[in-house]
Amino acid sequence: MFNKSTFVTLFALFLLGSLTYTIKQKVIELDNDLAQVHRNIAHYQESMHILNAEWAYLTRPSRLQALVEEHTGLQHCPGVSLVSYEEVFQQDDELYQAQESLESSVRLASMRR
Amino acid sequence: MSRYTPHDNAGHRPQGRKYRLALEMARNRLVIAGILFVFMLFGVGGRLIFMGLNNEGGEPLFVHDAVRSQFHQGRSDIVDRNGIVLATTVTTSSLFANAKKVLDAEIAAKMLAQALPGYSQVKLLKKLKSNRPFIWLARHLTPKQRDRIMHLGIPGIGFRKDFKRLYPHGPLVSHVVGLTNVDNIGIAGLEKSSEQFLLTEGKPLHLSLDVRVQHAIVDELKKGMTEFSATGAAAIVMDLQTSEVLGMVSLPDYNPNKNVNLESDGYFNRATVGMYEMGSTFKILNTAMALDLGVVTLATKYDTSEDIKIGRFSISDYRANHGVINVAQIFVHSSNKGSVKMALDVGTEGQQEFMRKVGCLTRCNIEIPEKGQPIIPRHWRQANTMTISYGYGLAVSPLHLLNSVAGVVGDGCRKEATLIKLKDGEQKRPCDRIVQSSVAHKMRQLLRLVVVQGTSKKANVPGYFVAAKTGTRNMLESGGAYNKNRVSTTFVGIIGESVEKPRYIVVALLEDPKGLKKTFGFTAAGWNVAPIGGRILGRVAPILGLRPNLKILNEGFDPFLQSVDFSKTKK
Repeated sequence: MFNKSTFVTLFALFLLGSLTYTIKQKVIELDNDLAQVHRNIAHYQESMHILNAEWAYLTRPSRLQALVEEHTGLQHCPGVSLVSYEEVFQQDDELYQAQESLESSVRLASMRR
Repeated sequence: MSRYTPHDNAGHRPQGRKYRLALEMARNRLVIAGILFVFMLFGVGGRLIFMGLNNEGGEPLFVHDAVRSQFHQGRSDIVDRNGIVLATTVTTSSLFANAKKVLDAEIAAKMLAQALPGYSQVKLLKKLKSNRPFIWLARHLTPKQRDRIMHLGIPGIGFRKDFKRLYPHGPLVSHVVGLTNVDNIGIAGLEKSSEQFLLTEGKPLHLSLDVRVQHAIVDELKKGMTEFSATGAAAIVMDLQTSEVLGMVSLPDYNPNKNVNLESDGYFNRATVGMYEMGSTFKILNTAMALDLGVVTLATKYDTSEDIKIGRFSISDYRANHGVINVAQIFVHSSNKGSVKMALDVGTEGQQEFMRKVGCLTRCNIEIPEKGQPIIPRHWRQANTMTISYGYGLAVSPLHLLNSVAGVVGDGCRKEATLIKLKDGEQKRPCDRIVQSSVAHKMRQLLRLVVVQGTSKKANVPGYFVAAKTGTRNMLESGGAYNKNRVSTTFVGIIGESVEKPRYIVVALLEDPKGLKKTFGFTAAGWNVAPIGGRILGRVAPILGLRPNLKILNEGFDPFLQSVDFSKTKK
């Protein structure tokens, strides 16, 4: 009643069925993992969202100013305190030259003595 | 190929034939079904292999969509120009009841009132007895409150995920950002006007505001209000190049995180809705108008020795009788009489057209819904032309003054102030030419002279080019008469590296400041709002990275202006 081709067909059916089942199970597993990853991402995004709001709340300029006034006594930075990068070295050079001339005059005075 | 079996014989032939045919048919059908089934399996298998190799499903897109659909905050954030959060939405729990399923409403109301301090037991009972299938009992509960209620185990009540709008900076940007109602629908400020964007775009709304600048303004205004016992104040700082508003404050203000009474004084936006006669700051517009139309030059002289009569009223100058003085001296000494004569030379129609051009006759086009309509004369007669020249008879908001003066002193080109951060390509927006560039340059020089020689000396900021003008006007009483003892004072100032490079503009206003011992009882703008405006400029400039310039502050000045003696006045 059953010849060779029937057995081959049944075997192929069994093989493909097993393969389909295995792949399906793996896909379900991966799908669950993916869903978990999505949930984690959403959770972290929500946490970051709240932390951003909290950071904005904690770094309110009025709060920072009150803390600075209470603990450091620092003043507002006036505009004239700002200089360019080049001017910093320019001022250093001037200071160095003044220091050099002061030291040479001291040396001269001590030699005279 | 024969399929006969050994049991077949002639006597059974007809039945055997029938049987054979049936068997043949069944076999054929089975083979066809088997072939079809095998083809289908091969099809499914092939498809699986194809999908695995080809990545046709677009996996990354799927992940992205899934994340977006899972994390839904309801309403986009509003952030300042540096990305600092000004308004955000957090997930909360809200308590509802199915009143039909509540077994004992009185016990439930009592237990809930104990778990939720601040909630009225009577109101809760009324809701629980309403017999409605869904009714909110309490919105936006804290996690602790939620836990307490869950432990009560009351049947017929439940929780729903809800969203609550939070404003981390509290009142700091309240008049700009606005607020939402309990259902997260915008009811004021940008929350109302940008509703569509916030609900659909899924990305933050970037404002042009800078919270550091905003705080500097609030801090200085509050100190000024306290010092001079003023009833209200407002100030706006704007970038002259892009017309982006960096700070906009109206005091008193309100905290959008709390229940806001929309009728309260704090809710009123003085910067955009409050209409004020701007006093002598209008002389900026008056002088620019006369210069631009070619009616006068800086050297044109007017006799200001006699008071000007309008009916039973007379127009005089605040301080001294200056005699015959030129346009530059009229501006620097803030002569009302000189300004009136200049306006009369321009004419009523010319003035009206100029005021329309600078935007002082129509509502401003800023993004928030709270903006007022200027109060303009019903019949614009010569008397109105005279009073408007020195800032009486036409009431505008501080924002109107900012827009118009920025246009006149910037580069003579008017751009509407915006509260939305501009993208790189948008910063050079088209503008409406209102005065020639040379007139704008002259106006900046005149304003600088007001700081050096005139009424705004207290607004000077060492290291920067500061140019400014003040205005003082008597307040109107309910009957329509001016009260000589109450004033509102205005300040308009620009700051930059030099007369060629103005960068930021500030408009500041104080309502009803009082005289102090240190001001010798005076309430004029030069004594109160000018130093406040100067301090705002002095704090804001370093924050915004404006470099000081100690060398060329007065370079590039008109030779004529350098020859004028502003100290001489005829007493």
